[in-house]
Amino acid sequence: MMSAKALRKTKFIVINVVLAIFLLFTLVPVYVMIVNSFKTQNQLLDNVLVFSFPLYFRNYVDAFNRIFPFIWNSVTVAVVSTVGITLIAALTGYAFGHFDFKGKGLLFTLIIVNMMIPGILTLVPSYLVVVKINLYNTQFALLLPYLATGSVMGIYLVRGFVEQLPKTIFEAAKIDGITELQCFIYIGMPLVKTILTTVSILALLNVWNDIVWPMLVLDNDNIKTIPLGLLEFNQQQGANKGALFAGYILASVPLLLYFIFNLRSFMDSLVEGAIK
Amino acid sequence: MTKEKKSLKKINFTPYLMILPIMILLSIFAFYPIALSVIKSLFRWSGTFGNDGVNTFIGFKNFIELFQDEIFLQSWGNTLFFIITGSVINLIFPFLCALLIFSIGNEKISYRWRVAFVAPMVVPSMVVFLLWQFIYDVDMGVVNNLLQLFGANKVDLLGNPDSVKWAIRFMGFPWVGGTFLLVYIAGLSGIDNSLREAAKIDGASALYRIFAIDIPLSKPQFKMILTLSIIGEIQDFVKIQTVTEGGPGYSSYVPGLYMYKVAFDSNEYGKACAIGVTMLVVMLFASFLMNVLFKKEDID
Repeated sequence: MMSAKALRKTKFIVINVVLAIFLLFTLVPVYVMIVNSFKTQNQLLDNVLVFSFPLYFRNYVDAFNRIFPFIWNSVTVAVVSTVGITLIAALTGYAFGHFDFKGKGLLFTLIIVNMMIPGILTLVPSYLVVVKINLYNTQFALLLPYLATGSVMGIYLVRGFVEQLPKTIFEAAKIDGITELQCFIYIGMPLVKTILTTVSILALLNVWNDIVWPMLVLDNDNIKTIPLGLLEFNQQQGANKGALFAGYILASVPLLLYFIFNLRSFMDSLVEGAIK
Repeated sequence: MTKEKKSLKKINFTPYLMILPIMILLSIFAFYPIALSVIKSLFRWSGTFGNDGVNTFIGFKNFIELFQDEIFLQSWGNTLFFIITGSVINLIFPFLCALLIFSIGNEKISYRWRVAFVAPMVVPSMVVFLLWQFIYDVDMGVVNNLLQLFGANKVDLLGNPDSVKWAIRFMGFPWVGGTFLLVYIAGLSGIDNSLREAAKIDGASALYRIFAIDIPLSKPQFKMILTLSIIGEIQDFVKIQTVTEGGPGYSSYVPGLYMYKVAFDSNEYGKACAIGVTMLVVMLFASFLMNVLFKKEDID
């Protein structure tokens, strides 16, 4: 008969082993990517399952030269739209949470209803609008629609947060004679900092991973984002596939760094974003 | 009267000014396109504005044509396959993994597991698609390398109409990483632990507790993930476009991909809008169905 303590320990070990198996299978594509990024074409033709020696590091140089411009484009678009989305969400969310004004309910509904409109419905007409207003093949063709549709959830999150703030904080400040704008910047914003972090992380993830929209509106290598660059690289790189895998890894680095340095808030934001 | 005048004078314009930017953006990039897609679904439209090009009202003709269109119907058939298999997978695998992580009972270790399962999300989805395409590759792919080791014949999983949908579905195996896992864990952590303790004292087994407490009380999470799965499967065509382009033939075609081709290959923008509208209707119906389904069960 096992003691209760031994039983608990066995249970603990079994759970961890099962989870480790799950994780191993989850990481198969990552493993494939790493192993093959160090191979010459001949080594690749020989096997794709394990490391081949000597490791071929030149792939990374080749891939860097090919992929870096796309990474830079993606980083630019992602940073600018994330900052923009966070600003708009803060501004608009604060307005709805802090003020009482005529038409508030209707305006808020008009914005929030976009959370229920699937992107696929507007894909084709949005493309035509972008072409019509001469944004096609410019970075604004990405940026402006991202700001529009990407801010909606953030507005919802910020409003919910601002509404819960005690009104007395603001009243005291207003007696001291500060303006609405100062009130927003110096009192409102610091108080909603955590929710703004969530908003920015969710925005970043969405923008970074978007494939369809850039594919539709960008046709110029100088501004194409990573997914498009990788697709192109993939189609052209028949003779040296190893560099392709090195490119995949390089393309994963920016978000990996961001993830490592913002671990806690990254994890919290994912849950927050899904539940709301 | 005087009272109204007084309140008019006192209108504070600050909130309106703060809302203005998003309203302008949404008007151009959301409200207008939404209206366009609904209205133009009733037109034969060459995608132009103003007087040049084709722009004829044809009533429901686009929809009638679509429902007589073999490719369109097959696309929905394929999507149905992806919806059903995807929903079953998302209801079972991440939940199982969440149960395991939750039952560790040590916050620090459980957090590390969560991080480990979320970390692969940093790989861009395009890379994931291309990697799986490579895994299935006929000439040098991982699957065929493994088969060769065992002396088996090569298989073309993506090139065979019988296997292509299953091969696409298998991508992402064992389907436990990412957001859904975190949602389930959050749900499990939200359940009052005294319920589990009480059941334990009554001598209920761990398995019994899962079926009597964890599963029924995770109903909101199941509902949410089911809805998200269905909506996601209906919309997601980039994966298929990247990996198989809908082929071989039309055996992995989906409505989103068809919409894309109808718009940008044949320039039938009115019809493309009509496909978008059918997708919207199906998604709305699915969300409605989920609400009804899960409400009814709650009453029982």
